[in-house]
Order: sequence, then structure tokens, then C-alpha cells
Amino acid sequence: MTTLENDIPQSSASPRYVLGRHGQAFSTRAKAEQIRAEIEQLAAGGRDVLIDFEGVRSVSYSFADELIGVFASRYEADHQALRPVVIGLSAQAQRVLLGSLEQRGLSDEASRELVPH
Amino acid sequence: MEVRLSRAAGSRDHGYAGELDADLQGANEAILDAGDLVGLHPLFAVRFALWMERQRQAGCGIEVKEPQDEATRLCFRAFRLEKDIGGLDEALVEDDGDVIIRPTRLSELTEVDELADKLLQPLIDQFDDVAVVRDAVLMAVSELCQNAVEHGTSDAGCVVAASRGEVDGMSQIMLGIGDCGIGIPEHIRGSHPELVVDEHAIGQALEAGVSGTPKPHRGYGFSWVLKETLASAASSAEMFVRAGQGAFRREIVDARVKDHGWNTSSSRGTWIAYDWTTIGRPDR
Repeated sequence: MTTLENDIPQSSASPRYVLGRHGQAFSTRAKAEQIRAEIEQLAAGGRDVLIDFEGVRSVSYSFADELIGVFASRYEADHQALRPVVIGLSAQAQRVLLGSLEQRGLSDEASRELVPH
Repeated sequence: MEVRLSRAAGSRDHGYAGELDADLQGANEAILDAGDLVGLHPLFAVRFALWMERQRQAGCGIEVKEPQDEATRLCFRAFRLEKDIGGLDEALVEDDGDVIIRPTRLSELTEVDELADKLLQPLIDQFDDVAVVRDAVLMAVSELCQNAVEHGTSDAGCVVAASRGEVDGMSQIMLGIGDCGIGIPEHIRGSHPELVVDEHAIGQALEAGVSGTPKPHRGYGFSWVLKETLASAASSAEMFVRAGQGAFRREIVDARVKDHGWNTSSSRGTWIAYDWTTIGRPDR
């Protein structure tokens, strides 16, 4: 479904996953699980991955939690795990993502590291 | 046999379409007179469409007399209530009428994502008057349809409809979602057997972190629909839920939330209406 190699910017050391290529609105945990698997494949064992939300107009709580919340919980438990850094967030997406990280008990510091705001 | 729908039968709370079975029990041919109907909430449209579908499957011929009220008749036709419930391809109504989503069956979770994605652009392009509640509407479509598809496991799937209206000169957007599954109370009792009263079970299901599944970090969908509603500039909003023998109403006015639950007649499935009223003036 995704042309993973095209998602890697030539100028960046970290691979970048462009979520907006798959739509402007994201709803379900099932969709997030599918995208999470694609991101893990893209990262190919590397440490960091940029997840670009540019152009995404709406994310549900379930989607945000299953995608970013799960990655964030794993990273907080084990700093050798994949670190997702989220960029290009709309105000709505930022509100929802931060809500997920707060519900999962992530510290402000960790939230700022993963979701710059 | 002829049954005449009352003027208020199409309202959100009435849920009359759910009780038509009893009125038309045993009839092979029936006339359903909707001539007096004024107003047609999407939740009624969902229940009516499912009921019509069941009658057709049972071989019962139903002749429907359309509403006489012009606005209601236009909605009745735009909802296509005399036809089979359509899929995603036919979901969105591409004219300048008040119906946004005609009764649409979602059977797979991927269809929930597709519906939200399809709905976004029309909400931006055609519904300026309700722009301030767009995030809340999309959150509701996403979270509530996801619940209905996941937990409402029956052949009927999840059926969703939406329309725009006007109340006291202000614009309103209305959503109806139904499924014929076990219903919220039974589902919640999977993890909370102490919630034996259905309206209490529904009320608890609306709270953050309360879920019928044992998986962690679940049960936040309803609370996020509320959060997005509170974050919006809706002048008021109201949610109505009916499942099992319980009904529950949540009113949101001036950022204050008022809940009320009550006992009602038994109903299979979960039926949810969500209405947002905005200060935007209808542009038509």
C-alpha cells in the first residue's frame, strides 16, 4: 500500500512517514495498527522515525492512541525502542495526541520530546 | 392494515420506528401513513430504514404514504427510506438539501475510516454554518461508529445517518447511529457485572476509561466526543442513547454537562443520537 522508500527524505537521517498520503481523516484502532506496522517496517530496526501529520485534518482518539500512544508507551518503557517524533500537527490532532499521552501517564517532558508543542 | 405515524414520530427520542413491529404484527401487506410526520431525525431514519429492510426480508409489502410537510418530505426522499440501506458509495448526499449522510451500512472498520475521510471535505465545503462543530462531528462518527461495528456484531452492522437542521434560527447538525447487537449495558457488564441497571450501565459507559473489554487504555471514545464538543463553539449539544431497557440523555449547555437516565421499554441494539447547535445562521 505504501511506497516506503519514497517516504525517506534524502536529507534526513531519520525515515519519515507521511500520514497525509493516506487521507485527511483517521478513525479506527484497526487503521492505526496497520499504519504502525508500516512505520515499524519503514524504521527497519532504526531508533527514530518522523511521523508527519501535515495535511491531516482530523484524528480520532482511538486512532491517535493506537498509533502514537502505543509507540510512546513502548519508548517510555524502553528507550532503545522506536522513538516516534510527530510533526505537522493541526491543533485538533495535537489536542488529541497529547490527551492520549496524558492518559497513558507520560511525563510532560516525554510528551514534549515526542510531540513538540 | 394501515398504521398512521403521529406528528412527532420522527423525533430523536421517540424511537417509534423501533416499535412498528408490534403495531404491524402478522400483517403481510400494510400501509404506513407518514402524512402527519413533521421533522425527521437521522436516528429515526436509521431505525425506519432497518425496519423497512426487515419487512422486505420477511416478505411483507409496505406501502408508505409520504409526509405532507414539504421539508420533511424532502428529507424523507433524500434519506431514501423506501429503498435498501446503501453502502459507502451512496452514503453522501451531493445536493444542497439538509441530508448529509443517508442511512448507510458500515460492516467493516475500514469503512469507518473511509466514511470519516469522505465526510470531511463536504463538511468543509458545504456546511460553513456548522464549521465550529466539525471536529466534534468527526470524532463522534469515528468513535461511535467504531464501537457499533466492533461491538454491535449482527448482520445489520452499524447504520449511520446525518442531517442539518435549524432550531430557533440557529444551525444544527444531527447524527444517528444504530446497531442491532447486544447493546451497551450487556457489553459493559462484561467488565462491570455490578452495573445491573441498564441506564446506570449506559451512564457509566460514557465516563472516561470505562469499557466492556479488558484491554488497557480503552473506553475513552464517548468522553472524547464530549471533550471535542466542549472544545468547539457549539452553543449547545445533546446526546441521546437507548439500549436494553435504559435510555440516557446528556445535555451540554454553556460548557455545563447535565446527565439524566431512565428506564424504558426493552430494545435490541444500541441507538445513539447526537445533535449540535451552533450560533451560525443557516445560509439558505
